Amino acid sequence: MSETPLVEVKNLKKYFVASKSILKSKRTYVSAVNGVSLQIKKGETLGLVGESGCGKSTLGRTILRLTPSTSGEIYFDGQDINKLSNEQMRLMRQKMQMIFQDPYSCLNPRMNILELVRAPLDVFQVGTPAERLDKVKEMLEIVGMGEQHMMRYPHEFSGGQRQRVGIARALISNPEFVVCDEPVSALDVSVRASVLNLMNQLQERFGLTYLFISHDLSVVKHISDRVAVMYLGGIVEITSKDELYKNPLHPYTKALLSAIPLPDPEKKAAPKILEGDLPSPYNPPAGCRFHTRCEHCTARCKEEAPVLKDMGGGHQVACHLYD
Amino acid sequence: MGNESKNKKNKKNSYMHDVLERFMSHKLAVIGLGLIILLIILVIVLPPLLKLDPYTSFSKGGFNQKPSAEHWLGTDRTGRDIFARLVYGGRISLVVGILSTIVSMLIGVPLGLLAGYYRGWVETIIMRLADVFMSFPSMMLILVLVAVMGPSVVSITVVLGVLGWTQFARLIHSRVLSVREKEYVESAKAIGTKNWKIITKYILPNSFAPCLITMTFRTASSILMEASLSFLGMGVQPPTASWGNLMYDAQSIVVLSKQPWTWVPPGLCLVITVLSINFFGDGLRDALDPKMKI
Repeated sequence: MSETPLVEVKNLKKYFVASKSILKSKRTYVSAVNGVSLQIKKGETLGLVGESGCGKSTLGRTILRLTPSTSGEIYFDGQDINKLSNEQMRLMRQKMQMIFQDPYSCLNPRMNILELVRAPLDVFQVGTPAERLDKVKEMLEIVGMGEQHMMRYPHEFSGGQRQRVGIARALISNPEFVVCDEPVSALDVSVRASVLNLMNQLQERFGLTYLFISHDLSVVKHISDRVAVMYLGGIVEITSKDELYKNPLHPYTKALLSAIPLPDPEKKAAPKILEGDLPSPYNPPAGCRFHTRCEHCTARCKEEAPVLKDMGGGHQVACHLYD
Repeated sequence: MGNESKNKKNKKNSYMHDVLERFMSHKLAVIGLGLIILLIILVIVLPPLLKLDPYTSFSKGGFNQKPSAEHWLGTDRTGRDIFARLVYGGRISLVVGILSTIVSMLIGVPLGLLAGYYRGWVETIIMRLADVFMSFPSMMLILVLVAVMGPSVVSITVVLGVLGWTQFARLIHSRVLSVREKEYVESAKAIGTKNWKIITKYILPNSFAPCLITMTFRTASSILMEASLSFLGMGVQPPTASWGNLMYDAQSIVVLSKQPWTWVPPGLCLVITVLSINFFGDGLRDALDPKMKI
């Protein structure tokens, strides 16, 4: 692990227009990502957890510039990709890829496996056609699909097999950085483990850097080096995996971790059930966005939004409790 | 090995197989398709086979002859063989119907794709233009355009074709709006695919099926439109025959009441053709997507 981050995000914001109006002042916005800053070092896996609708997927897509950001900077290898032209960005995509959540809808039903996996090479005209074919065969072999499947179409495969095709497609152009958007949440548990192990092996083999988005804490624990916890568009805590699971600081992280079911019937899990629902992102609470559900809420939390503070050892938390 | 490859082939074609099976279960559609094919074969094969001559005047037996062994449907007021004209007219009517539909599709589908894919001002311009086109009274517009260009087979095909683009553009546009949000389109973007490749390889193949159905209905209505224009004298001009201008003579009361053999056959042909195409289109719609209703 080198010290310079491969990916660095500074104060990234993504607002969606929720209701259009000719009057600009009457437009309402959803702040899906609200001032996120993070760093991902080369060769590591950063897990990104949070409940549905907190902006995890939007953050992942915005980092890849699949959805344009509202403001903020995204550095990839020291280059601000928000400043690249569309054509420069298109060329950049060789190095940054994405594995999608739903293996049933992320493969074009009109293309066979060969065309699907070869597509990233075709786009950039990498090598001769014969070389590309060899590369596809090799890649399919690596993800555990035989080359006899090459002429088949996606609907003939199971979810796990399709996800392997999706992984082969994402990795065939030798990317450095891969955003994995809940790649195993659509798979059943037995297949999940094999796909996760495959992703781990591929990371070692190709020296990949992952941003691993998931709502499943046990999956994140299995695959991540560091973990970022996201709540309502902002990161509330970010630290190494071991530190997070042993010593969570933010009240939200504590509540999340306490809700993991224990496989031991003797031990009683005592989950801290959070009161209320996720507040509407149309009209997020002022101050700390978590204060409506936090048991340690003070007057200051309702007025002043906390920023990420380093608590030592790279353990960052955004909470007024730790001032 | 042999068994495996056979299996593969079966699986690959299972979608087309299903479509075919559903289509074959639609009796009227199968009959319609059969009639269309028969008609196309007849208008191609009959003229050389029977040495039909639609242009020479056979005035030996006088004008306006009744049907006879020599002239199966008699002759018209200039002594031309009506059966020959019926067959040649069928050629013209079918060609105008099919070609104008292809013209409509060639204009409408690309515009609909662009509007749906790029959204924004591209969409606004194209779709509002379509709205403007659709708000003209079409028959009047066609009459004016044909009058300006001079009535002929080519001008009618062009005018019907150009005016028909809105249907295809709207249909494709609405399909693209849903297809472009699919994850496989985003995944195509994520690997750096160029926009035109995304449109042609990802969006078009997944949004084209309903166009096949609209093509059939559009062909039927173009044939009818050409017939109406020719009946009014603004369409295909004699001596070239079409089913519409064969009925032109029936504007006189005498012909209408005393010489039904001149106008009933082309009218019947027209009805049968349009019905067949419409039934075929219905069957195709049910076969391609049983849930879809247009």
